[in-house]
Amino acid sequence: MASHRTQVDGSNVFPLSLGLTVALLLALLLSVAIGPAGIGIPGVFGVFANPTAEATILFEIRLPRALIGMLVGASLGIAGAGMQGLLRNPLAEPGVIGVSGCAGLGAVLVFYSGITNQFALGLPFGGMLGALVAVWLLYRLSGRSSSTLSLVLAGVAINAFAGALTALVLNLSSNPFAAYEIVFWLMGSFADRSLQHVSICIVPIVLGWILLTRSGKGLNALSLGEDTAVSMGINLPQLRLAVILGTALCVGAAVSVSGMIGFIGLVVPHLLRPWVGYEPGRLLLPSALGGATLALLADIAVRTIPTPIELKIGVLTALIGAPFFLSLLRSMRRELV
Amino acid sequence: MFSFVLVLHAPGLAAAERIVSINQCADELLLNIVPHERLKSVTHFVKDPQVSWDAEQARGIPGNSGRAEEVLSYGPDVVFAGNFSARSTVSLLRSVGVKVVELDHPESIEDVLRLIRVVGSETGYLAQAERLIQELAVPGPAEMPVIVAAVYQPNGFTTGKQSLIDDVLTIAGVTNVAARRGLASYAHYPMELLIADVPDLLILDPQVHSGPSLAHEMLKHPALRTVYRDSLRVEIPPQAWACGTHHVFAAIELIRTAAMRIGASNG
Repeated sequence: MASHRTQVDGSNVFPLSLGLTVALLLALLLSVAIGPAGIGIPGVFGVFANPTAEATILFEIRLPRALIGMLVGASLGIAGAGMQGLLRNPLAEPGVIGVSGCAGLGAVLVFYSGITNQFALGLPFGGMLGALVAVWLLYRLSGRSSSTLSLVLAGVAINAFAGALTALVLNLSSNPFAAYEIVFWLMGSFADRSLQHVSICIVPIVLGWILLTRSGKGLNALSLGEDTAVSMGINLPQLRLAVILGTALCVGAAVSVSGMIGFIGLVVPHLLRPWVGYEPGRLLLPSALGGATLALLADIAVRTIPTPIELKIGVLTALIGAPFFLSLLRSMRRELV
Repeated sequence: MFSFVLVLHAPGLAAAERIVSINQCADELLLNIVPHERLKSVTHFVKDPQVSWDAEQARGIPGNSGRAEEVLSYGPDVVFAGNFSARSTVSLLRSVGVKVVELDHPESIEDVLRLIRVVGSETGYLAQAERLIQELAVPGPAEMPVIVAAVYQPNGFTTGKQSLIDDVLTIAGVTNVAARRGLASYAHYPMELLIADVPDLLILDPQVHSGPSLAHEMLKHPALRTVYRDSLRVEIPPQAWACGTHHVFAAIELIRTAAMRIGASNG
């Protein structure tokens, strides 16, 4: 069965990616059409003819929200697929293993110290630096063994530490609102983001995507084992560096503008893996498309579910993702012990 | 008009000798009604000029953090507290026989005037309280332009019906868009709705907070900047209306002035 799967030819990736792209575009349109002011899809098209308050709502409130959702979701999806390929472990997800947590800590340090008031790009830099520290730590702690147990445990420790430091920074802030903002950083949100947020995160995010996409071939080779990969001419140190930097760039920048949103990088690659013949390299692009679609759909859901105050998107992704994570763990139980 | 029962009994009360307050709003009223030598301690909050306009008046009076032990160390005749916080402190003080007066949070200007009288009568300085009320002129405007205003607070919250802020807007002569929408006294008001409702005047907190926060950052959203240039905004310092003391009349004045200005420029 497994050998049959690995022989699925490349023609499968194209229709899958095409289908996911169509889904993503629909989700984008829906995301721009939904909101409390009730403009709707006809209004989205009508606004080009008639610039009013509706234009402000569409272009300055809903469009940035949809774009951030797409960028962040795609980053989490592709980084999940990339890390799973590098660590040869299906549980390697930016949120579970603490990369998002450290990115959040970096962004929180930069934002609440006031650096972003002088230097707007400090925010994604803080996030990227935090993410880089986490990926490097993880690789040092569990990179070579590829043992699921040590990876997940390292993630638990890193997450706990980053979460505690984040709470500490927020509690030390002189602004009384800061302490409550831990909810944003731990559970994430795309609400009320602006085009300025898009502009500060888009460059590192796209650079991260490029680095990860270019690692595809190396990850395919690595799935056959390190020695085989070397014998196939893969430069392993270079591959590791590309995946680590790529993840740090896109997850770091994403978390710095949206907070932490868990499980997208776990659920999406897992669902898509059978479709690409279990080749980690070919999983990258579909995971980015699928991650973006899932993030947008989850964000549409938090805007549609009638709660007095909008739900944080991470609440929803965790409600879906955590049981998923448990079932994955269960199916891997034999490997764990 | 709303002669409070306590007012009737007030003449019989002897003036309190040792007064302690563990509530900032009570501090502000006491500082403007009672001779300062009677005030043995006020909260640390009221001593901060970023928080209260009475910080200068409170200088020299010891500050407290509202703990029962601190309060008892001043040997108070009467302690003033808010009725929505420090529950355990209040019951502890009462259990050891200290008289505690709890002030509720005002939901209207009438409530503010009532609280001023309560403080006056409970301390034995009712005449001073009445004098303070007389200084608070509320002249009804002869003619006001029709202005719809939105209060927009950090995190995108606003204030609807049955709130002091709604009453302040009404007395200032403007329509509160949140009350028109039927929103509750403290409700989330998505930025989209704010822009779709096109109010004429945006009422904000001044950006004087000591540290950054996402809650305040959202008030700098470009969409708000597009729709509301500075001339369509007015900033109300938290010292004016966070508490609901006599200072709230300053907020009425600021909003009325801004509304008249916008009305004039609209022709």
